[in-house]
Amino acid sequence: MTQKIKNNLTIEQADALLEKYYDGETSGAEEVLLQDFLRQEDLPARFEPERALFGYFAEEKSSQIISVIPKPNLWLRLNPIMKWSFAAAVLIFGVFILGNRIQAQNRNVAYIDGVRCTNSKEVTALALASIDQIDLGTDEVAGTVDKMNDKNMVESQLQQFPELK
Amino acid sequence: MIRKKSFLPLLLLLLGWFAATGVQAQNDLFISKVFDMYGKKKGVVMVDLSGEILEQYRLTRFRSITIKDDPEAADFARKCLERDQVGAKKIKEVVANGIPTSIYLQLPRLGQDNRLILYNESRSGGLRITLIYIESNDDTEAILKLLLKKKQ
Repeated sequence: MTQKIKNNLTIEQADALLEKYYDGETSGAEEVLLQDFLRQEDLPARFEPERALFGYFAEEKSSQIISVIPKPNLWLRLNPIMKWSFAAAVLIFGVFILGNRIQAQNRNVAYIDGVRCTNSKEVTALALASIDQIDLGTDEVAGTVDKMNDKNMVESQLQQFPELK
Repeated sequence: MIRKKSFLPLLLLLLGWFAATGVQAQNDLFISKVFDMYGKKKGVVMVDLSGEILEQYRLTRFRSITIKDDPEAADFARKCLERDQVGAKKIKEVVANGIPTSIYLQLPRLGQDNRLILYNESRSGGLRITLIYIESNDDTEAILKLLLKKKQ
């Protein structure tokens, strides 16, 4: 008797495919056909072992699918040691940057012959001293400028050339 | 609720911003090399001030370096100044015997900061160079007036 069941697979065809399956010769598509066939409720009792077998595989497959669907992100998939190392690195980097910024906002340091000095009075005094050194009135350059501004400079220089008089 | 996935890039972005804004304005200048190279040497006085201590002077950053009896350092400083003059406004320059002995430079503004470089070279009692870098929210004239006032 040729009992035609859903998905167009007859019992004879199913038997033939099962034989092929036990010989390890079925293709993926054929196994899917067998699974669909065995999933049916009104099958003869002799198919129970195969139903159990395929039922197990189907369950395992679906559980695999379920485990894949909620793909955890990269962070959760990282090895715990890696995860904590990464967190520590980010924290250290953050503290370093923050420390640098705080330090940059409030600098008060001088180096005298390579020796560090943080005494604010001394540092301020050194800063003011460096401004004093910029003063054109205290060095030879300033003297030169003053001479250049001197109205008598041209006259005094011309005196070096009496023949011009 | 912020998910972990979106939290991490946000954190990295925040740290990056902190790092970027923490970069010192004078690091784009060649004269910063003078401070780096000679600041901790013998015969050198280097001052670095910022923050609260400068509030009364209305400055945001003050760096100075005085180097004595080091012609090589003077040459190097002059070369750095030459490079930093590109795009800057020269307020004053005094040249003696072909060598610039006094230079005031107003650099292009960086953000809110007005930046000045003052350089002086003196040979009375041995070679002595002084290089000053100033940042302030004030304009150049106000800064120079303040410096002159401080000297009196």
